[in-house]
Amino acid sequence: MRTLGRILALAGLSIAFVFSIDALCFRTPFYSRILAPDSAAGYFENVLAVERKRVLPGRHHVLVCGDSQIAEGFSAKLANQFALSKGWSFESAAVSGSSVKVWYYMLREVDPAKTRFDAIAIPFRDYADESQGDAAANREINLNMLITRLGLRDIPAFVRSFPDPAVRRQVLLGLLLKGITYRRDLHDFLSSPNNRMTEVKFWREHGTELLDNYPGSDQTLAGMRVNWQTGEFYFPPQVPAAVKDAVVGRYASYILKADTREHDYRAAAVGRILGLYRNTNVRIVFFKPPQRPLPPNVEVSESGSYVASQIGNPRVVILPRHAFDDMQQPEMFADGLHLNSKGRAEFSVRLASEIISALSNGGKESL
Amino acid sequence: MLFSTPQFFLFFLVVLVLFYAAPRAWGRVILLVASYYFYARWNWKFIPLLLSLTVIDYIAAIWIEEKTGAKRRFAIVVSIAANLGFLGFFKYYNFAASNFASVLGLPPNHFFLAVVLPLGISFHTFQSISYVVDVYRGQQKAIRRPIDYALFISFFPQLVAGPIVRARNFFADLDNWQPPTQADIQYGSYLIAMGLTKKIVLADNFAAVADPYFGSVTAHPGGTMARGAVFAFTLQIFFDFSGYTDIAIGLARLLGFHFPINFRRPYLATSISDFWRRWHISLSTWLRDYLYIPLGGSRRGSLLTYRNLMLTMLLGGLWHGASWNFVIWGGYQGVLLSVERLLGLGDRSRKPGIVLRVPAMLITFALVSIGWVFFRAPTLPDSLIVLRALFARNLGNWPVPASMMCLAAASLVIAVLEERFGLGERISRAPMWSVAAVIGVLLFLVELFGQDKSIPFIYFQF
Repeated sequence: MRTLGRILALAGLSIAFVFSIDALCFRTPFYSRILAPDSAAGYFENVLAVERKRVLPGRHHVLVCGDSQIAEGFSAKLANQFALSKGWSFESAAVSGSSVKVWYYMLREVDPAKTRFDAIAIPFRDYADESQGDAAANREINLNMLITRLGLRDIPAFVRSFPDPAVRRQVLLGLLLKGITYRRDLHDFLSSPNNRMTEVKFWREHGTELLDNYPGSDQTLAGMRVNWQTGEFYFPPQVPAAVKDAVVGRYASYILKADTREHDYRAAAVGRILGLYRNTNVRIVFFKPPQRPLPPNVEVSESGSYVASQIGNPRVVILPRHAFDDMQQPEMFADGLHLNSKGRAEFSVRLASEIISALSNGGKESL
Repeated sequence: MLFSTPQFFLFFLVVLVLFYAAPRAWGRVILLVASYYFYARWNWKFIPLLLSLTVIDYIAAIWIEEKTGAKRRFAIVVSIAANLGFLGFFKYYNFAASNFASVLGLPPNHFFLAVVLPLGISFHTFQSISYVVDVYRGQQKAIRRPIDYALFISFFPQLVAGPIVRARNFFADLDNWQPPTQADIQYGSYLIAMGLTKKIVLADNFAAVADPYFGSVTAHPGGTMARGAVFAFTLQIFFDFSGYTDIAIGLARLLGFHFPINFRRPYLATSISDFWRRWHISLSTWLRDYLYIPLGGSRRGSLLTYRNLMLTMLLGGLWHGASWNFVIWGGYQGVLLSVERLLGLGDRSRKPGIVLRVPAMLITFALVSIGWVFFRAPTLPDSLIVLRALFARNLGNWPVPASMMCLAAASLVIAVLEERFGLGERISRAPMWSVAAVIGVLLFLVELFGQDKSIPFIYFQF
């Protein structure tokens, strides 16, 4: 037994060294400063850095969270051209590939005192709990995005938020030994350190302008039609083949049933955001941005959905489900999912207008 | 259950706890059960084969010791025939069948059988043969306790890819077993960490360069690509196999067994003879003791010496795999050794001076690398394409990433330091915290440079 004790002592000490070196490199600000700006973690950090240091004009402030639909479709700068005169200002914290699970941590970092915003706007693909299986809850990229922000105390809750046990194990390992999660970024850095430092410096100096002045995509689906009887799609000649396939795929993947797993995921993830702003006057605004270049010919009922369950919650404001459906026109879209620059210009103003109006009226109670 | 996976280390932890917590008398049984469990996790269907060979060689050795004359000879013939018979059937049947079919003008797979190569068969049959021959020669006593012999053949650290352990070394440890000292524990743990680093950090990342190239050699034209891919494979195979044996030796050391070293910085060799004194030492000494010397070695004149060298290396090549590529690789090594002998180079007593040492190392490295083309390329025509490309003009970019070149350079520095100062020996005598720090750094490299999926060890296929 003495021998076993000696072996285990050496093994334990060695493992302690591994954790110490990992912590020294990846639990200090050292590595997060040189993350690739276009990586999941790097982009998240850049958005965070820009939004944290932004001085908010106006009396009332709204933060719009979101994924690529909001990153492409909503411009805080355009929204503010409309809203500032009414005493409101908007800020966007949209990160492509993110989901509501990520936004909780984004809010925690951007607004640690919970006094910065009057409202937080959260988009939903649909108010019905449209089935995605466990796809949204099990998205491992959430770990990559948040890796710099997750501490040891976050581990239990974050790991539990992934329903799949195999993903949980991966996430746990990636959180305990952060080097595993940073691996690809590190290899990329080592392959060309000079390029990386140039990119990082550029983002540090121009990050705010890059985010604020992004005009949106100039691609358009104008001229696209669908024959719902035959299921045939017609595209104008300028649309690339990859975009056509993605558009058709987006309609094909429209799932005509609600899913309790999606309901549970929304309840847990949005619930954490509601919990974050518990005992504050901050309102949480739910909205559904324009989803497709043409509205689908069928729709899942929102009855019994997570969003519907929040009607009557005094801290939640739900914008009408179909508030932006009239924008589901091909000329507003760059592809099957994202608005183009024309759509961006219109949606930014209309979202700001709807939110201001809803918050000024004390919130709407119906979908 | 690859050595480089968490599952294996969990298994090893359980074995360690059981082995050291149980009464001493149970130790052999625990190791035997663990070894068969380990083998069964790969493919339980080959357990009867392993058991059959164990029983045959166990009985044969006792017969050889007890009987005289023809019965003794009969016993050794049966034993060797059984070992080579199984090895020949599982490893070489389809190769022989495809060549036979080609001679008859039939499709190569005409006589094929769906044969799966039992894991580690090349290693444990050589281990068995050396034991039986040693008993026959009177250099080893026949083992009387079946559990001991079964453990010798199936001991899990070296079962699947060596090193090929000699019976006298193994039983010296088993019969006079002593718990590992602090130095053993430190050295064994260091070797395990070093082996993991070699495999995961170096071999698997060099494989990421070599595999795509050799997977489709015609898709990657140009001399630069070929030279880069061959360089990558040259490092991959060394780090892969020596990493495996480091882990094997380290595991055994933690259980109180002292396996001989199997690699001694082979790419610092200054001649091909020197290379073979440093590369896969347990195989090259086995070939020397049980093939080259019985053939006559170098005692019967120059011509027969060259013949013996060629035969030994050709069979050594064939041992690695059933294909003409391995035969050519073995032949290439035989030719190089013969030429060296003819020119009086490679003699152990005539080491090059300090000025000539580096050029000699580089030439040896280049010659060995060329040989690896036959070892790695999937077919003979592919080997010839790569060989032509190696000497073609530059085209394309050097495929090995800068970070890997830095790691290769760092490992060269470590190898030189090891050669000059014996780092491994110092590790065993160093304070525990400093050994833990070294192991910590090695494991941190594994964390940073590991691949998402485990890649099997190259020598598992042999």
